[in-house]
Amino acid sequence: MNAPNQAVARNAACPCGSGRRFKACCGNRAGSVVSAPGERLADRLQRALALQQGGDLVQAEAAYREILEHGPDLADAVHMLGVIHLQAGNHAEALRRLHQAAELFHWEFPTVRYNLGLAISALLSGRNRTQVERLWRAYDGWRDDLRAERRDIAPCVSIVVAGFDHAAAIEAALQSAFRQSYPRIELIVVDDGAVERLRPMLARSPHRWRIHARQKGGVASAINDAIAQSSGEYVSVLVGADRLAPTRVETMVDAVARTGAAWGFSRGTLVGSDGVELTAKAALPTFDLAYCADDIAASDTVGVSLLSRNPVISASALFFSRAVFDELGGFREHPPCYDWDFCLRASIIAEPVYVPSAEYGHSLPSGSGSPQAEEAARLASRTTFAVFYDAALATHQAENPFAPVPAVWGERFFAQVLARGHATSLPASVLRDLLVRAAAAAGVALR
Amino acid sequence: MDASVVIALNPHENDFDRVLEAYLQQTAPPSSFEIIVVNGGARGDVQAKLRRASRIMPVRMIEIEGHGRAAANNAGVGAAQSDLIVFMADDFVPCATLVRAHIDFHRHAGARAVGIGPAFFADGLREDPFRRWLEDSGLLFGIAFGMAANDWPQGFFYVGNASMQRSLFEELGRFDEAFDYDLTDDFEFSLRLRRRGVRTHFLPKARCGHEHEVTLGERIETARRSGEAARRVSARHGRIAQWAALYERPLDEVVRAARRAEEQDARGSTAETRAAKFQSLLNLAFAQGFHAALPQPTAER
Repeated sequence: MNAPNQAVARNAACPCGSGRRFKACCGNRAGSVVSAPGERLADRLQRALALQQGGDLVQAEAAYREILEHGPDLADAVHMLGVIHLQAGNHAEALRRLHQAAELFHWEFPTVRYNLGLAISALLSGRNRTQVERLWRAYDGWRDDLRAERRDIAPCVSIVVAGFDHAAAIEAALQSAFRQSYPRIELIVVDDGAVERLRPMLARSPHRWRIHARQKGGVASAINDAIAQSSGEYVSVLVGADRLAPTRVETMVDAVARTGAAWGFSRGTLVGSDGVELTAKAALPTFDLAYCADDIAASDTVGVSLLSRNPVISASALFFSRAVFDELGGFREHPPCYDWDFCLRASIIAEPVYVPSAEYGHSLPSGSGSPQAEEAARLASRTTFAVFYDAALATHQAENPFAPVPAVWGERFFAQVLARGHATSLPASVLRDLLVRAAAAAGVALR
Repeated sequence: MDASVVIALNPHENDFDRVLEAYLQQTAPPSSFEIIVVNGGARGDVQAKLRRASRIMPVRMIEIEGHGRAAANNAGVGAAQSDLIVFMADDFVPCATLVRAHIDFHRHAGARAVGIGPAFFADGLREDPFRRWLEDSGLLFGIAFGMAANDWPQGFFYVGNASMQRSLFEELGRFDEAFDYDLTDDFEFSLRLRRRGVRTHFLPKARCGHEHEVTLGERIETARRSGEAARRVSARHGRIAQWAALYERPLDEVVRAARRAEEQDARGSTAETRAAKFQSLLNLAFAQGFHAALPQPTAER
């Protein structure tokens, strides 16, 4: 739960995740306190907040109630009273108060929307259990069926190498592609100007290879163009300075192509420029790679795990059939997380398979992990998810019977989305609609 | 065999046939798991049921001399054939995907990961305001499972619905059998788990129905025993902040707060006054239990 004004530096990124500075976002809401009738009220609000932050919810609640007796529409007090109810597990009252706060803030305050989303999620999460358990059982059945199919096929796999920015990176990437234990491979290398120098190296490739002259555009369109030149039934992407594990293609063929699945992704590790594995904590202090990877296996389905965050740290995680790629129309340059966008859209078509072994090493671009890079990543994630959300709502009949969309999961979809804090990226109209559903579920009368 | 489900019997009154039937409906193949029911004399109504069930499912019961859930669970692990142990409460009715969810999670996750499934009262049981409050406030198990998808405390552990590799269980030192009730043994275990940097994951598909008509009176007794046990835990692990706020307050102040909350609720009962009353009565029972318990020798930390 987010509470505003908790000792955040004014120029720091706002903890609500809006992407703006604190002083220009939640910090600016102090204005509503200042505009309260009299300075004493503002002092009382600060005291109530201190009690709440100290964990004394009973005293804090009493303090907020007293404040509201003097100013029933003081939005900060209404909001924080709602948060207290949320903390205490009184979700119905939390919903009522947070709705009131959202109205008082004209639905513009991200923290209120975030907390309102949590209250809605809590009220919706236990709904339609029968439908959800039926889906879980069906999913287990689908996974059982996967084991039995197509054990003897050996499809041609195209490794598409793109997005590298200097020759040293491409050499290591190509070497990892050469060393694959799987025999039926073709390499499509996107030419960014360095390839001519690499022809002697490519000449030693054990696999057939082709160079694709790069067109204008970003990595997504470079991958698309290269795939258009490929002839494999399946595609394994290799971007930047990433490296494939020697068993990568063979493992993915086993897990995806030979089980009848259409696409999947594997776990990865972080590697330095020398190819040596980095500890994730040192490389990305605020992103716990191993925990997030384990959490994929804890989700309702692998497809549903995509709703939380981008589970692929690089497009090099991806392995997909050409048919899925064609049906999706390839990668898109917009929204910004092109690999996550691809996964989310693909999950509507077909359920992915997750391979828990680390089958590639991702070389972090310089500057990764800096506050600026993390902020940019947050914004990119929000934009990407918002684009998917619209597509999910518009999907009335998904090809994937477990697609992470409302038409399949009903209210659980919304509960999952809101529980993961996506309320700030949803339009207010959608949040209002969910609020009405949750209120009806909880028997709460909204004013 | 992929998993051993260990069920320690406690003095509960739920229909154990329903629990066993639910294990028959699992999506995990029957050959992939066994069920070990451990009885330390807590229940006398399950032996015949288990004998009947053992004809159609891999279930067996072991009787132990010791008392308490910790001793029963330790004995269950000792008898288990699989390396993956799933600890389950005897009043939790598993949904069909529960065993599979634990098995699949450990197939994909690291060797030191712990999986935790939720338990929810059936809708009928939630009609009781106390039970609803107890569940939603998170005071029943130490977490509100309805909010788990949003805010999962990675060190949370309870023994009602949890899985881990046997090697990790042994590394963490098993359950402490000095805890002779069906409470606090798992909380104490969670302190060791956190100290070793082990983290837990929420497994929504390992959902259970909690078939236990918990009453305020029963819970007050549980809170009193928890207070007693808290003294032992604190002696061993140092000050536990979430408890210290209760037992460091003068007892007469906690008594007065409880009386005030009762009077306020009696004057005009609302969801808030009820919640305040429930909370303050449990606080009081916990504090009384703590102060009544004998001081414990402080262990090395």
